[in-house]
Amino acid sequence: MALADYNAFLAKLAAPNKTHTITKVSLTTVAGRSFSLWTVAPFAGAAPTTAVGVAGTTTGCVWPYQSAGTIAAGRSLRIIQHEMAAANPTMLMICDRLAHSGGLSGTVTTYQTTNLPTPPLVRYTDGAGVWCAAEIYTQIGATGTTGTINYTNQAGTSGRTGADAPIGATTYREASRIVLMPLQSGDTGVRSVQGFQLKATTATAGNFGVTLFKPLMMVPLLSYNYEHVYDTILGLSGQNPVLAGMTTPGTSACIWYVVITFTTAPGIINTSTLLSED
Amino acid sequence: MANITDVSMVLNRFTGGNFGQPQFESFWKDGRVSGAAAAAPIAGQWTSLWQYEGQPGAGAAPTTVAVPTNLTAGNLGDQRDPGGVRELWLTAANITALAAGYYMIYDRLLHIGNLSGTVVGPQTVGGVLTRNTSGAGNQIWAEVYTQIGANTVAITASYTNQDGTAGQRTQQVVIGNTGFREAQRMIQMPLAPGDTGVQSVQSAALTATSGTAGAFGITLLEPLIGFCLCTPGAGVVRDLIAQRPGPVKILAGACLALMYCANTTTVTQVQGGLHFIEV
Repeated sequence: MALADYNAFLAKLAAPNKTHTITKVSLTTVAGRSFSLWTVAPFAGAAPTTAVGVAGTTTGCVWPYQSAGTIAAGRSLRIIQHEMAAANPTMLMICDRLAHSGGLSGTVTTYQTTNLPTPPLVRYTDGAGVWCAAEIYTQIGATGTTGTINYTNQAGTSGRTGADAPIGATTYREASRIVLMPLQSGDTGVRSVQGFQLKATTATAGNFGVTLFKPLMMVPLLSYNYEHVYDTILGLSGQNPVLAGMTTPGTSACIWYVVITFTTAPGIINTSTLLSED
Repeated sequence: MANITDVSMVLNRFTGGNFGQPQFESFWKDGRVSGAAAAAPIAGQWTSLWQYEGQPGAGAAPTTVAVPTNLTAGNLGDQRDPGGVRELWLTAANITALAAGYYMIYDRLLHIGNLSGTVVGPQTVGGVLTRNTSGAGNQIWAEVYTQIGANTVAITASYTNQDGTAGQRTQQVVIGNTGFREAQRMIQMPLAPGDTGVQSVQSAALTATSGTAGAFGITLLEPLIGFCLCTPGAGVVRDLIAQRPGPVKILAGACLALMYCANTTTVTQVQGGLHFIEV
């Protein structure tokens, strides 16, 4: 339900429905590249062994007590304020993790379908704006090559082939690295991924999988050892995303953090987020 | 801002009231073109990300003159046009990138490719604008799709200005040779003194051969918002209600695209998001 005016927004700030405060320990990153906090403690998730849809009840969701079905039908839960602190300048992406898989190998050069296709989406079901990444759980090899996905796009067209994405070698092989997979020209989202093709071996199998997710907010932290508080109306101009699936048991949003760092680690990350039901 | 009256009204639209239809459209672009690493940028020169791969997928190099829209492959925003008599407004934008520089989001109004780096004299551009047809604020850029030659030459364009005066000519700028010939290079073509916009471009002309045909084109664009990205990785967020340049009206059918003036020779990767409401 929409807020009528600024006073209504102030009332929500004064009495938020939920406050999520969490800490994540640091991890080693590559400057300027995307890294997943899925397996980073606390609230660490496990490397998937099958292709599965994930929800707010899945271990690894950073706001795990947002149980599905707690929001009445016809109402919504939206982010209204976000606070973030870290040791180093970092861009935090707050994402809804939709589905993931694991068990792909960095040495198999035939078309890989292990634990694929990804299951049908239960949130953002048309796939519009859904991103796809190769998420590395165990470091793959030091030989650089490229990979592509075979996927169904936002229009339901199957058999789409993404553009080549670099994978393997430094910057593209480290555990927790997510390598974003470019789409075929004309596509704007992904409904499901059927397979993954490496052009050549990276020389070490490691373990990686396919993750589908929807970015909800992007929050920059520009200073060292500092905090930023973003009012989603006055500081982010309306980026007050509504969490999907909160009224239906088993389908609630699985909130997950991705970081892009200025240096080779974000440092310890603390976030506190206010959500409002309306 | 004909339809925007006050903060409470905007806030109401942010949360979906009165057909606010808020949209958050995320995007990312990798420094790869046609399956290979993109040409290294030149510090201090502009680079087009139109053909960079990512999500949405890459835009194609144009051949004949065309008017890209929000349905054209490569449109950064993937935004829906507003319904009824409502207007679409960009109210927030964030961006982070691997490489420092000044990044600019623009409406790609018209483009043509397949111009030759060896043809001396006028090469036809043509086409008719369907957005910002008054021409106010529109700019003319040369855009290189396939590397042209190593000879330093000059380029001008013949155009019709914001007042409908035909036969205007841009000031000469350098094209060709290192820094001015690589694929994805964007070179702004300053308008004649006194002109503030462009309704159409009739032709573009090299003063001499660059030595290699390659392929370049002319892009007619309207700048929308710029970001100085000084902290690669951490990025920047722009609240367009409280910060410059204020809310940006997005014309129906707008084809949003990205280019940047590089600080370094690092090929960039960009991630960002755009937030729209209808008013």
